[in-house]
Amino acid sequence: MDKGGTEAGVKAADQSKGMFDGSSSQDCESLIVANLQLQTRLEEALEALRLSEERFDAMFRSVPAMMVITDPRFMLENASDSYAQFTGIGADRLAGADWIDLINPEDTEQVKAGVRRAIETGETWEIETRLRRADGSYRWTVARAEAQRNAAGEIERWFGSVCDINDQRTVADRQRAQLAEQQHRVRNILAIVRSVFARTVETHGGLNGASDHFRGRLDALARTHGVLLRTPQASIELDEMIWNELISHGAPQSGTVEVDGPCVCLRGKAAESLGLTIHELAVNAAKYGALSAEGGTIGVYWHVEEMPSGSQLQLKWEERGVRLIDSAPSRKGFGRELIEEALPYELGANTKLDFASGGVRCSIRLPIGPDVFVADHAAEATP
Amino acid sequence: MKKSVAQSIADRRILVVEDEYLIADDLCRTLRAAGAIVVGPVATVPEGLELARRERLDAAVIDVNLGGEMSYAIATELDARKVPYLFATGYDCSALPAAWRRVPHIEKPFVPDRIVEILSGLLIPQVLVEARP
Repeated sequence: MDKGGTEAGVKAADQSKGMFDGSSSQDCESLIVANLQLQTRLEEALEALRLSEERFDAMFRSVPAMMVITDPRFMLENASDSYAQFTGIGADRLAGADWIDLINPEDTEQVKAGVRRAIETGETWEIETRLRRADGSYRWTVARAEAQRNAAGEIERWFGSVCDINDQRTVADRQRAQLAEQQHRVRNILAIVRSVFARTVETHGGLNGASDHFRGRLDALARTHGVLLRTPQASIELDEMIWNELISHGAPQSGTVEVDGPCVCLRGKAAESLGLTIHELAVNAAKYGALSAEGGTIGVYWHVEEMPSGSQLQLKWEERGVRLIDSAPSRKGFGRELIEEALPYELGANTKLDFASGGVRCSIRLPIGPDVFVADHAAEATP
Repeated sequence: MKKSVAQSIADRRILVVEDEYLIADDLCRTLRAAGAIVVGPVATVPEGLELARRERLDAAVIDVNLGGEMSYAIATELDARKVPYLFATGYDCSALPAAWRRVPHIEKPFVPDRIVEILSGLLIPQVLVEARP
């Protein structure tokens, strides 16, 4: 810069020297004044340029975003300190096309294609890639390159910025995963509803006979899901689930019904299947069993047992005082299929269903696990 | 290679891996109605893997998410044994990892008959099966 300033000064002096020959002193004076003014303006301009370049340089070096400058063919010429810090490669060792080695191999092809396209078209481009950090880990970054052109419109260099978006990407990835999970749940439940519908129509010989049954089953599924969908981790207490079903089938809260057991919570598939099972038992009790007969009682009891294979939930549904009970239905109803087939298949349950004299007896053993667990009341205090 | 002609699934051994009992049962009924021999159904990755390794299979229908666990290990095993399979999934295809996006799949809720159609297209002709060592 200084060298340039001196040169300009010498050049201006040479010019003014030549103009002295054959000129009047007044002319000379005004020429000198003009010359001095010119020189001052030139120096001012040069100073402004120097300051501007200094400012640019300082900014370029210190911006938190990583900045790079490359030649028209994406050979690295300069990079900000933040880039050197991120990659662990000092500015003195940054050269040429080595930067491509810092890209995660899985993204390399995409980046190369982007470079080729940019060189061809000269268009601004942006790409999300994983860039290797000094510690060897890859972070998601978004890189943007913009061409700087000369007066003739040719690309002189590319200005690039690189921003670390790893945290945002992680959040976005998690959201995507959650969305996919919700989608999976919704589609699964639709498939189940379709299947329940087909079975209900099949067992009850047509739409008319099936409609009440189907509505009941759909409501039971909806009740469980209403609780479960509050949050992805949401659970429902066994006690609440059983009372929900009993009350919606006309059971009084006292007298005929006794519900008792420790605080056990259910989640996901276990909640869904057990909810539907309790619903079927309650419907049966309301139609033919203890809830339909004078003097009938229902006891639902459970406890957790330590077994050699691990903890198990042992649940018993016992109806008493039901006089008119047929022998076990020969046709496999939906409720019976749930208890005898679905629970063992889906939850690894051991089940037993008896149509004993006095009323229905059902016993369900479920392994305690992530979806069936004893709740710690202190920890579950929040609603 | 010429596009393979749809094969009948009658007497073919089809593995079913699905964690929802009702869906699994619907699937099995449909396959049996079409004359297929159902292997399974099973609801977990270890059980599915066991059958994929041990049983003679002509094709498989696999649910992608088995009680929260992804079933790709079963698919990998079937790939190794050159057994064609299709994913039955509640996920949108784009939500699957890139490596699995090209696997034939059917999105839930599906009409069970559609499975028979897709399986027919996947099956290796019986003549070639018999010629296999």
